[in-house]
Amino acid sequence: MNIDFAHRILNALDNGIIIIDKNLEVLFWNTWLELHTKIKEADILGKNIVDFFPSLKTTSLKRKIKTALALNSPSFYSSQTSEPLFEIQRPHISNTIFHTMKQDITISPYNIDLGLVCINIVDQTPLFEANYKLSSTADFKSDFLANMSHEIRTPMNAILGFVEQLAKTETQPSRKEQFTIIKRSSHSLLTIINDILDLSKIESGEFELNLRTCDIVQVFEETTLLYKDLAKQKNISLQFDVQADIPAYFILDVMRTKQIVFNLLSNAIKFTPEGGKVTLSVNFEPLNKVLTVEVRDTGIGIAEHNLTKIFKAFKQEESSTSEHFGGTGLGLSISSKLIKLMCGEFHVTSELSQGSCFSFEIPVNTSKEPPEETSLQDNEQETSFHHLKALVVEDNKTNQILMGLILDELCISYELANNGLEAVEMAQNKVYDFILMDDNMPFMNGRDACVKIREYEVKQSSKKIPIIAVTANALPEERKHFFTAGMDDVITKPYTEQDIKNMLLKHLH
Amino acid sequence: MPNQYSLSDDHKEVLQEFMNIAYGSATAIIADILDAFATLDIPKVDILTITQFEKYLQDKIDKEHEYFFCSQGINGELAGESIFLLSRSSITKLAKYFDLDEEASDTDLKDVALELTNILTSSTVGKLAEEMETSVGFSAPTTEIIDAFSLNNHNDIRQYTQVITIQTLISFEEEKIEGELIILTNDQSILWMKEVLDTVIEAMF
Repeated sequence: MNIDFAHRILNALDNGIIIIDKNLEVLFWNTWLELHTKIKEADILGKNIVDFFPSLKTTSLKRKIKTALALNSPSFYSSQTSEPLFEIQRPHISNTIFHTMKQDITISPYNIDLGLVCINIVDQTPLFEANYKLSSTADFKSDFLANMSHEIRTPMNAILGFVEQLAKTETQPSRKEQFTIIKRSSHSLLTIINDILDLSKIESGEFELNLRTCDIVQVFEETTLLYKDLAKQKNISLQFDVQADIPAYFILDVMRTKQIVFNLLSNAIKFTPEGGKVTLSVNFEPLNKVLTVEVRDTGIGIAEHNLTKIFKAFKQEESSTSEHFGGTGLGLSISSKLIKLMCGEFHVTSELSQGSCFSFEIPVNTSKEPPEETSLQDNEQETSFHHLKALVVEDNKTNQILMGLILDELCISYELANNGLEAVEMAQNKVYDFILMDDNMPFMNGRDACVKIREYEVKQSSKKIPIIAVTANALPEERKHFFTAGMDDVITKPYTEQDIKNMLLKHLH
Repeated sequence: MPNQYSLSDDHKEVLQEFMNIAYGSATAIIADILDAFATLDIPKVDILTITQFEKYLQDKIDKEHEYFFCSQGINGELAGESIFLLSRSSITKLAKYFDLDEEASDTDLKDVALELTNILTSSTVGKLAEEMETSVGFSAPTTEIIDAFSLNNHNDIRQYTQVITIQTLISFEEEKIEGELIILTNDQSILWMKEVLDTVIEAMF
């Protein structure tokens, strides 16, 4: 290739190309650079590049050139950390790379004795613009999901709360069953919302595991117990096998591990016909510290060609599967993603009409210390709350009535504030034992109200009153904001009477 | 149980010999570029599943400290990536070899980590490729500052199923600067490497 032809190609590029020698003298300056720097090739040829761009770090530049020549390989000037090499009037100039040519190559008319360096300036402005559009779309999706979650949880709180209260006093069996159906359907809807939120979080890379110490047998026993009745209804034998010498305490994300096992057990029971068998086995390999959890069933099985399909979101083995058995097809997709986040591996083997075996292996650490927390719900504590006085801060009339009903049941007297502003005023003028505080309210939100109340307590040197957020903002990062504002705990809508009771036991007794 | 990706002891021995040559060449290049004497430990060759490898990384990371996690893509018949793991204290001590003082900002320290990753990867893998009679290309290195927790969220390495790891420790002069260079290769490259190694072993006997 002759040099004129090479120059024509380099001048036609939509990138900046500079060729310099090891003394930083410019040998070539292409048209793109003339256009974007207003420096003509004739003015810069033969000159030291640092004279034109004083911000260039000569030592670093020389070292990079030396590296490129020594390695006979590109020496990258990374856009990840560094300012662009050249102040060129484009918003996003990056990835300036040095390509080198070996010292024994000479190209006329350059008389290079020790090598030459080609600097490639990539204009990433169009890419950044496209990225900006993409990130705006991702932000919109994230905001939409958070809002949707909040808007659905608020009415769902009323539906579930009132059904719970109505079912308590209902004596007619057929109506009791209707209430149970409403409750079950509402919970199914909530599960779908939670699944969609989880999937979105995992896909956006914002999902974080919450590792804590747990009693391993208790975790899996609790999970199995929840499916005991369902298995009994279908006359399915549900067994839980745990390795005899398994260590007692492990450090793992309990909620997410349970979520995976829930999903596997739920599928196993759903797809196993009456009289079948479902077994949950848990084993630990101490040398490599790997926990293996296996759910084996004698169900309908999965055709080999469909084994990969079932891990995709919103997919089931066949479209007819969802018609027969229900479900969104999100569970396995989320489970496999969660296992991956735990650095684990997910396996499935299956044979049509014989059954399936889903298992996962996760690296885990054991603990010598038992977990700190104990479940309040498990403690059958008979506690009286009748002496307590509460301030309920809630703008939604339906939720005011529901919380009133629950507090009446618990014999707790209460007063209502319709927004944060009213709550601050009431908390300053009266003494309450605790405050249940909504967040999204007109005039002043719950977090701001809490900050004001805490400031007042400090000023007055008065006792710190327990403030519990009662909110439909269920995302983990939203929960953090409540604690930052000075709240003591968070109850997520929809809540039950038991949730309120547990919270009071935790903070008031 | 051996599978199509497992390496025999002979494979490992020959690969280790190639790496000894490659690492000798790398120390010479570092000395030339940085005017500093670096030593690279005898490389350890292993084949691990990605779960074992993640566990290995977790064990390497001290919960109390931050690390610079650098990676650089390798393209060609010998494809994969190299990972260079350096503690914050080591990279701070290294800064002086790059004309920076010990008060250097994170941005400057990242530049040091990137430059060193590029030097080590290009010199070692470039030489290894030469020994194996192939050529390789490299992508621009990237780096991020991680701790034991954020390592769990590092998803990029999960594209591999199993990896040949070639691990070494780099130490600079008398100072306690230690970094770990790990070269990961993908499934296809493992098979390719085995073929090359078989040819070398056959020629030896």
